[in-house]
Amino acid sequence: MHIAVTVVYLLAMLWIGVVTSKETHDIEDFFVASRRLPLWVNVNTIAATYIGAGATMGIAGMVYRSGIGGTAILVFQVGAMVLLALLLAERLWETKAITLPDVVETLYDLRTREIVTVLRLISIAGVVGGQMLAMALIAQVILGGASFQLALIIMGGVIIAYTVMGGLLAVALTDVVQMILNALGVMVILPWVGLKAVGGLAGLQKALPAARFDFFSVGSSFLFLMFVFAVPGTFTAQELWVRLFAAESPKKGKLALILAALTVYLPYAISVAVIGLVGAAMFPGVTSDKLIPVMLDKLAPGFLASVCLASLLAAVMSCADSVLLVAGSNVARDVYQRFMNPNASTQQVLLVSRVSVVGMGIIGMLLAASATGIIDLMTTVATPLAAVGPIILFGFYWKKASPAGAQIAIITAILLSIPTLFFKVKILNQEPLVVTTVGSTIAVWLGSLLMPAKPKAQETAGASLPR
Amino acid sequence: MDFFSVLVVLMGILVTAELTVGVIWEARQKTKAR
Repeated sequence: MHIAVTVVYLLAMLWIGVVTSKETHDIEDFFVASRRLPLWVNVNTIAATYIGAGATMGIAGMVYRSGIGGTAILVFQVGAMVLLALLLAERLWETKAITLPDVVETLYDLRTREIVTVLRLISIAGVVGGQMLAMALIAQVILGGASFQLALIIMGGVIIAYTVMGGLLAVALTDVVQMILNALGVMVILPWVGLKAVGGLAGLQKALPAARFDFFSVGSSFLFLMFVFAVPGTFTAQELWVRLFAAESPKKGKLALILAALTVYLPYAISVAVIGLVGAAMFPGVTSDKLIPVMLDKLAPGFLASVCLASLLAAVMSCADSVLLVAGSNVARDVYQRFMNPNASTQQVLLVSRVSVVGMGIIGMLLAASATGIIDLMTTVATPLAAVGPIILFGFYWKKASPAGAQIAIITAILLSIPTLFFKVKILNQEPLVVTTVGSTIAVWLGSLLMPAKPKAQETAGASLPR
Repeated sequence: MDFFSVLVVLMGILVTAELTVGVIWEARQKTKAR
């Protein structure tokens, strides 16, 4: 039963890829869906992209272990998404960019763009690999003990296939199906069967200590850590930016992000908290990553369990495909079109975009299959990218922000992350992300004051972005 | 099922409905406009 439902679902995803491939004629079609993503498709795709295995199984497991404070990271991400919408959504749309380095060049200059591109390139393969790994692990559970390699090849193959065919439009439309399926499984079926079995709120309160229901019982240092993980990452998440670039209008992009955060992501956090609490009350002693599969096995009848498992698969796929597409854009747009062959024809750029997506997908699968240590290393190396948040904010909101200031900020972030990341030395006893974010904020401010932009350079910045 | 459970499940149904109806409504508007 589980396999039949999964096969039908995967075939539907491939069909969307085939249909959308007919709409894809140039790089803007491919990476930003011709800037014509309708509002509600965008709400679905933003939520689907941001809700993954981490937000579902990971957070349910955290609530299972430590109570509703385990959802802290989701709550902070909601806040960060709303702030991103209010502060940057319209301005990002107006840059007419396709990638994050495009925005950096528009605000500063080509050299700043080069540095950000290099940092991005070092880490993206690791990020794609991490997503492929998470996806294959969940598929393995769903396909009932299939080998890891088989799960990786099937799932990786499907997302690469529809992404390469239809680009962002395919990713967004598959996200619609994935998000609705995900909401049905995680927000309706699982809480329903769980709460029924445990005896509602009274049953939960009887089985669990009161501290589990207190958001702040996890402690202020845990909350601060979650805040640090949530906010800079959300602000500079290219998967979110792309959906702002792709909106029909600046206002619609902003509204889609706010709706996705407040009316989907926040209620989702509540549902996941309920699932974690039900798990803690009914199944103590399970390893927390197995919690949801165990709950489904014990509580949900066959067909409903299949839908829920497919919905978990949907949650990871909708993250992985977006990360894959963004990685492809960083290669095709930021390296090939910007630096290697600025005069490439529309057809050439589209072909390179598709090849990049396939290439990044295969590299990601290879890393997931063989080198998880490298994945960790590559994602760790991305810590200096935290500097991008401050330089983008300064770039949009402070006229005096200069290219030199931005470059000093990035270099400061790299230097600050070396001792913490590689020698395990904590500066001022803080997390590396805190140190790099604060350090680069100060650096972009001081650097811009000390080395102001040449007036001429600022006028021409970004004027030469290829279309 | 108690009030709390009904509320949680209802919230899930509303979010699922919001996502579904939003997209369908939008698709119909677009076809009408054409």
